[in-house]
Amino acid sequence: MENNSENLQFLICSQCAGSGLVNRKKCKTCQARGVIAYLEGHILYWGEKINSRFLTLYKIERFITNGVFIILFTIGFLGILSLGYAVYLDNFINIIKLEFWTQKNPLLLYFWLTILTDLYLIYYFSLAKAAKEKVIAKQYRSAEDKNIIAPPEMDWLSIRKIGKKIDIAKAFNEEALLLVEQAFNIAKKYKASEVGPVHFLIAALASSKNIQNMFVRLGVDFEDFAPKIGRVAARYPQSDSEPIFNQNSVQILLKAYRNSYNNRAEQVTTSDIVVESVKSDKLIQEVLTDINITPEKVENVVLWYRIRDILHKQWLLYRASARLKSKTGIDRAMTALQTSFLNQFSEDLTLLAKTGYLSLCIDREKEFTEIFRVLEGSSAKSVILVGDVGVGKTAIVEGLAQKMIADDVPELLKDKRLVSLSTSQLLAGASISMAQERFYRSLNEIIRAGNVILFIDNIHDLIPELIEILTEALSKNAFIFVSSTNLAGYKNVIERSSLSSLLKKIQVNEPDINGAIQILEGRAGFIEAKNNIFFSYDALEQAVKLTDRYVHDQNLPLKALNLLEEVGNWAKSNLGAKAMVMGNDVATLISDKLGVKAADVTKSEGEKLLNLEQIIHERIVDQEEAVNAVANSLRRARAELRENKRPIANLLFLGPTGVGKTELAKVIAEVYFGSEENMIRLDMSEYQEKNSINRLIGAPPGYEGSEGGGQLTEAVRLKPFSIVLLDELEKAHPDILNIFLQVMEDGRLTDSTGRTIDFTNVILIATSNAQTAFISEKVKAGMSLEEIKKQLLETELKQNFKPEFINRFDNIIIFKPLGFEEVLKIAGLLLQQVAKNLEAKGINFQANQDAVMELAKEGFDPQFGARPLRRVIQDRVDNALAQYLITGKIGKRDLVILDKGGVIRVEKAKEL
Amino acid sequence: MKRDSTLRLIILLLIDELKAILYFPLWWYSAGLINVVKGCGKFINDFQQTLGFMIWVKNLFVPMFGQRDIAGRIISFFLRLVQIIFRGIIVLIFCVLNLIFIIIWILLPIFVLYQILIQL
Repeated sequence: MENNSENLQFLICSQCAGSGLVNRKKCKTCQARGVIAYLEGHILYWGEKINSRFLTLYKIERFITNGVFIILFTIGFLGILSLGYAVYLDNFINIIKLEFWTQKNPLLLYFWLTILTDLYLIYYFSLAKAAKEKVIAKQYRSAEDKNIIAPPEMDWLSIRKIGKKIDIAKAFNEEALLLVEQAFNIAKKYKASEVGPVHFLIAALASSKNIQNMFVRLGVDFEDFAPKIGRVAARYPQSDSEPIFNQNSVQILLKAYRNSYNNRAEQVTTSDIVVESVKSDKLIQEVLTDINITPEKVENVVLWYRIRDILHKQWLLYRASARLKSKTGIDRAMTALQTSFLNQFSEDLTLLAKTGYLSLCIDREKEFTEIFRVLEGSSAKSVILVGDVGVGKTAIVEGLAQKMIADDVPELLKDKRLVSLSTSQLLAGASISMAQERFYRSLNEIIRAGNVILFIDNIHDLIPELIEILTEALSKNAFIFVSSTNLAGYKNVIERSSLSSLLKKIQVNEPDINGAIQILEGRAGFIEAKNNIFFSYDALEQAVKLTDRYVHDQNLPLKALNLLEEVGNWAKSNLGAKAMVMGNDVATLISDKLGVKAADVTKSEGEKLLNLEQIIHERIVDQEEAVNAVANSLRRARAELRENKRPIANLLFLGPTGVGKTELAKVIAEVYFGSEENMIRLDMSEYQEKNSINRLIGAPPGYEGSEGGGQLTEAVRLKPFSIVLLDELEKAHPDILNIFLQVMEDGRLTDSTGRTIDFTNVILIATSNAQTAFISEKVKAGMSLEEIKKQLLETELKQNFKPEFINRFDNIIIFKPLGFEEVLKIAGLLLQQVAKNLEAKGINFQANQDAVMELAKEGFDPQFGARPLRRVIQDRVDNALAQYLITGKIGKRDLVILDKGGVIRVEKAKEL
Repeated sequence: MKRDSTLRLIILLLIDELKAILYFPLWWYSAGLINVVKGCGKFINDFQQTLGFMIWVKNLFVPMFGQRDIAGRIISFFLRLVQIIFRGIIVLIFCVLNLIFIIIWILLPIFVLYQILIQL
């Protein structure tokens, strides 16, 4: 699609302020034009008068036109009847006799008169058709040309000298013209002083089925929308006299014409007017923003409908031209040969296109132009399409087949067949020498036939022996060759073979977001029809945007199309027939599939996020500052207030061992990513050597262990939505820290095979025991954590990490050493866990306060925090319980009580 | 005043209709005739393309089915000649039919007027 460049310049008459009238008389300066526009060398004006009088007149005119048509048609019909009656009265045989025609008969006289009126009817239709004009065709211009034809300085005198001015009203289709009239009536109803954008919009929504459908696709609820837009209309300047159709109103229509011009449409439609109305009124935009619709979305929906139109027209064109193409593979001049041998291993794409089997191709003009340029321009007529899986190489080749059917190709490709050779069929059940022979014979047939364009998909799959044969055949320049490969295939196979010098490379890039949305708009219809559902515009946009953001190992548009198909299936079984799929449905599906948070925050999730501190405190005792900091950064991330090019959060947990750093990381994994499983844990003490980098990002190709990939990169590639926990960071080699510098800054990392791994959906948490002594000392001295952090950052921490490394963290969180009070609470929490485990077996568990106190005392160690406590509980409680359980002393529903001194008492449950 | 001017506009409208009626004979033999001739030309060209007539003519000396030996060339030439003659006749018939249509277009009004005169 063409860019809607601002190529329109207005000239508004200063004499009449654009109204065309001075003292109710025709303005002489502008000849009542009021406002005109300059569009790439053309002068445009709006030639219809819009006021009550003229609207009445147009109505009468339409009435007369229709009346004349009906009368003439009836007269003509009666004429035939009268001839029939004349024949009936006479003898039927006499009709071929001259006497019948030369005799005087009033019926015959009437018949001949009606023939005259019939002729007049033909004339009448032709005139009506001639009164309509097409939107002027836009010339293709290069980028330099566009700068040259900058609009000239315009004034009314110089404009008068320009001969042909274009009345844009003639290019408006019937519906659009009626819309303009209706907008006036609506403005009148609202007592507005002038016809404004909102009146066009209301008129369109009221009268045009197409526009209504478009707004349904945008997810608009009319019951809610109609009063809002009505209020906007009420806020327009009011007047008691009838509204005027002034320069502002005309400017919208001129812009609508510019739209059609840029889109190379034949007529201006209601949707063009609606797009411009929305774009030129801030109030309408506010109402739309309120329901999450931007002017760009309106434009894209209009584009969606236009794409459907274009596809339909393309299809008709292909169908019409397909009848000229042969079914047998022989060209029309019958100079070609049958290729019976080749046909065993190939598929005739032009034949498939002829039968309408291939789907239509959208937004690939750039690639087609390049292919044609190479094939026409260079002596070697061989191209290779290079692009990743899913970017649309096959679609381009199929599009080429369709263009060949429509003869929309250079002379060189006309009346030829595009044949896709299947490498797997060529190799199936054959030894290498047999495959070579098959390939030889196929190529020979192609050369002899003379009308075959060979296509080999994934050419890198060919075995070297066949590549040699192909190279030899291509160097003779005897046939046209098209092939495709992916980036790795091109790099590893093609560039290393002699083929590379014969094939002209054409890069096929992933389409941008808008391009991908357009492609989806073209395909959505098929998925809708298959599943009997409808997609809202948001659904398509989300499918593209979310896959672009979260799915990194596939390419647009394929990944978005795949998602959309899945959504279609899902909607069919979950939403029911004729349901509308909204953007959030797509987001929910991708959230479930990938474990990301893509959908809108639901009410229950919102509550959970607001009470995050409480939820974390169910497992973490005290450490208020740390918990608050983490909760805040998670909320920020979920509200999308973060940069999308970096990890969700980079956090550094500092503090002595056993105070809950790792535990907090686990809690985050569970709360944010749904499960503790979604945690990639790396013990950095294992990465103290410089060469341990190889373990992290994989060994370079050719070295031992290069196939397995890196421990970090592989893990993140497989689980892109997870916590990366780097334990004991200070122990890692400085070079390894540099790697994380890049991860934290750019959110990506390139592994040894050259694959870029996406880190933008991980939460990166590093823990460190560095400066523990300093922290403990200062906490004891009663210094606030804030103050300790400040001192650490300013001086102490620089001994362990480079300043730029420390700066990359979003938050450095200090964990203070645990006191006895905290350990006591932790003992309580750990015993709760024991109780939970027993509850699963149907056994109740209680611990005396004294017993808990005793365990806490035993497990408390100022140096190791709560770590010894776990061991104590394991030794004292778990071991004893295990013995009881194994010996069968504890039964179901029994109550187990832990007393002081590690004594375990069992209260047997009552017999049932 | 307003009513008056509306009436005036309606009268103008009726005058326009009258002008259109007067223009009718002129249009029939100018713009209308050109339209018909162009339409016939396009029809014949489309038909010719469907038959591939010009393609056969252009390839008269090109051997069919890649048979480039002398015998093949001779057979091809005559086969193509037969094809061209056959297809040419069909194209010619359609040309004549279209010509008849154009002649009818030209003569029909005169003929109708003549018939009316006879009847009067």
